[in-house]
Amino acid sequence: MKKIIFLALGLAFMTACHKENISIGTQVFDTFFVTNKGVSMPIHVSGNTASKVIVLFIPGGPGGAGLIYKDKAMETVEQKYAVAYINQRECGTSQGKSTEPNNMALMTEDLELTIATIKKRYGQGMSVFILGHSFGGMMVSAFVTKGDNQKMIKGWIDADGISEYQAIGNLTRDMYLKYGLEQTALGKRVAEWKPIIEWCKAHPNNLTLEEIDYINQQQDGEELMSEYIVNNTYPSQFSYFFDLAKAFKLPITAYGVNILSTGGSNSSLSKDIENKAYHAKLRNVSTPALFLVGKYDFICPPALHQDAYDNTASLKKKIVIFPKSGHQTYMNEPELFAKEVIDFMTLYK
Amino acid sequence: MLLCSLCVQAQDQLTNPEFTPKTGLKASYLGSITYPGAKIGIELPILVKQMTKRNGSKIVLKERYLTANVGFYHHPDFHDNLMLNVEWQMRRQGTKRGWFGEWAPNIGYSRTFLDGTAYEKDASGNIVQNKGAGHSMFMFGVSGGFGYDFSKTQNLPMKAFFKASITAFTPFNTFLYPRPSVELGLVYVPHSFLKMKPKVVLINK
Repeated sequence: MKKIIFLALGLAFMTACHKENISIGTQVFDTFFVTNKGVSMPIHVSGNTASKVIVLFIPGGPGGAGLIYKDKAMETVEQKYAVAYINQRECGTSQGKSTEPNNMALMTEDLELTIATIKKRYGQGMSVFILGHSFGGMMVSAFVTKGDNQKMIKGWIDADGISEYQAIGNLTRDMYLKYGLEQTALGKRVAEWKPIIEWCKAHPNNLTLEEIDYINQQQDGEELMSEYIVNNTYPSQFSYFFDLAKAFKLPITAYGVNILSTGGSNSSLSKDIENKAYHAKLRNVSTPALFLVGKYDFICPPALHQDAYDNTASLKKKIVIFPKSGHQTYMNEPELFAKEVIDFMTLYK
Repeated sequence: MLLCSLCVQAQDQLTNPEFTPKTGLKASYLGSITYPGAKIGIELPILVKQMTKRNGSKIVLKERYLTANVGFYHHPDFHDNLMLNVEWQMRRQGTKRGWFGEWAPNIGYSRTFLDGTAYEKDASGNIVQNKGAGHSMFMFGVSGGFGYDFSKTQNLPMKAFFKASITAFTPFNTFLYPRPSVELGLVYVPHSFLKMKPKVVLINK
């Protein structure tokens, strides 16, 4: 009996002692962890590490898993450069228990640590870019506007990001009103647009947080404008994750719990996000910047990105409006998304 | 109720000692369908209720075991998890055929080991490997399943069982980590090993 117990303990101990496995090649897939303040965050590096250029993909949500974004667009990027799919604190497939309430400052610290770790693993000469989608775009803004962080990277990419939470309500309302009036004038889906137009006209002033939440949860705009958006049939996040779970052996239940609890409106992170505004701080950011924006993004409207672009001090900046996209530019127009990302990285690596 | 007479008798009135459960040694495959693991344990009989029905034509045994287990599973790119737990195992079976059903709530301690190289910042601000990185968690859950006791029909001191379970590990981020798993295993019942004297209750209905 004793022998069996010691054998089991020994097996567990042996599997716990991992040799540092760093893959340099054109088609690698490495997983490692960054641990900080009680939490272990898995980082999946995929693609061409031999290029010595890597982009860190910061998922949306909050709560999302990095590998959700390993799709057509980013797999195209992987052929030329490496992509590190991040799982943030309390999000995706991270594990542990944070020793401090989660907030943007803590997640920014995690991102600093992740970049430092990638440079330790793959060499200090690694050119690092960061790319955030939706909430991940807010993370990118938080990162580049803090101290000297922008010196750690070669460039940053905001894809459909939200970098000024309280601004989105008014901008989304204005967008609903604009397209609502335009579409009803064309006689398209009038019955569906009518209550939205009425709601927008009844709320002409600055929206409250509750009203912002209301309008942010509508997401009807993209469906109402679906004839203008390509590749707009999305798999549910869970079914999509199920496929990824099979491919990458991800823990489905851990992810499900993380996205439901961290993305919930009562989480400490969600409350911290509500008052975050980074546009004014972007005036101190001179690192190359790329903004990728869906023309029909009703969640983070193009006007929000235009304001971020205008405020960014960098002279090496570009904004691309995807003409046939909503909030998921990387899924709606993956070829254009990949091309813009690759061109940007090639230019500033 | 009037037709039923309930009679609880003392332990020394048990007529057939072969109905008294004995200590068993368990070993099983433990996995969540695709991610492998193993579990070993010992089940200690604590209580048996012998329910005689239909004028003695049928006897049902309700056995209660305290089970102590050590197990682990390997989830690639996530973690290896070493688990110590105790179960209060409730088993119900007849005396003629070997089939039994059981369910068991459990509590325990778990220690994970990350399945990959882990890094952290040391006190000097350098990035260093965090060897043995993982997390300690309290675990609780419930399992249920069925099995076959070969001693009833073939005089073999073995039982085979299949169980499905759901276990929650906490603390885990902002909530807990639920993990479903299945278990397929054997119980070996040595003739004389850690002899227990379970409390016996006879009930006539």
